Amino acid sequence: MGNDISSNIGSINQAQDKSTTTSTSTSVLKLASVVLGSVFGFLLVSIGATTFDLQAKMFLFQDFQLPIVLGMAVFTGATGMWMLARMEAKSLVLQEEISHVTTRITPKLALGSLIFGIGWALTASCPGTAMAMLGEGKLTGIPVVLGILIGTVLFGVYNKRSK
Amino acid sequence: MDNYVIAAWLGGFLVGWFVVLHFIILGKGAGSSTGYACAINKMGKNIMGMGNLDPLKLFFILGLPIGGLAHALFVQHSFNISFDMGMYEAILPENNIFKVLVLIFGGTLLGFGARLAGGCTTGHVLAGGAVLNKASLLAGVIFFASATITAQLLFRIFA
Repeated sequence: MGNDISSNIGSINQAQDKSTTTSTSTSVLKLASVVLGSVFGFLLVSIGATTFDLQAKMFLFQDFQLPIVLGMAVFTGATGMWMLARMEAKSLVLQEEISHVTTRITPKLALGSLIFGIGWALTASCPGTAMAMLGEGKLTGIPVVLGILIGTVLFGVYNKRSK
Repeated sequence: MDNYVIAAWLGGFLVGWFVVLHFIILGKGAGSSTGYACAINKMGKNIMGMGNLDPLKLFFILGLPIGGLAHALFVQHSFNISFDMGMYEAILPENNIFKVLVLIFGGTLLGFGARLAGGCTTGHVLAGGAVLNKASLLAGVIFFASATITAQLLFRIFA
């Protein structure tokens, strides 16, 4: 399985060599990803997701800012995706079909989610907000990001062994 | 609550449309935790043993701090370096070294859990939720239940 990633990246590199059009669209995809990430980071701060007190108050049922944002976002997102599906819209950069991929419910999903939740409660951060915090000058994001990298490596080790 | 925080309904509306915009531009759902796996892959080949990582996710998470900085500079009009976690100070160790260790441990659980579950709050709750993926909605419910129970216990024991 490990080869898939490198072959993925490899195929992009090969594509870059083969045609300038593909190379341009790869650069556009990368740039678009950085811009989208910036917009999302800005939004995460705007909604208060990087505000520790709002995270604490959410868990203690004292404030419902973040749960309302999440619920409203899923509702809005689902409406938008339903519209895209009806329009059979294609993606802007690559003109591909827009992914509506669904995944299966597995014991790993449940266990992983349980572990993730404990990490969320301990750090008042998520993989997305921890990075946005770094830009805001909230230095507690550094150990959290470091931990996420460690956890990701540990999963890699576990995943390779279990195969 | 910080005074720059926008109304919840507006925030949810904007985040929801952002998720749709990500699908429109790139054809795939947004995700944060995969970016970390991409970063690890860049450091050493094949140590992850995971297939089909979208390499663009690394570029996505590299954009996140730019957005955070832009917000600090242009909305908050102040860039403060801080290590303070507000209400969370009540349950975290006073000693900064222990505090860092707890945060690294928590981060490790976030990283491991997200990979095992196949996504984090961004990928499962927001993007998976938008396509009404049942597994993602279940993941979201477990994220929230697990975090709420843990946090309630932490605040009861340590605060």
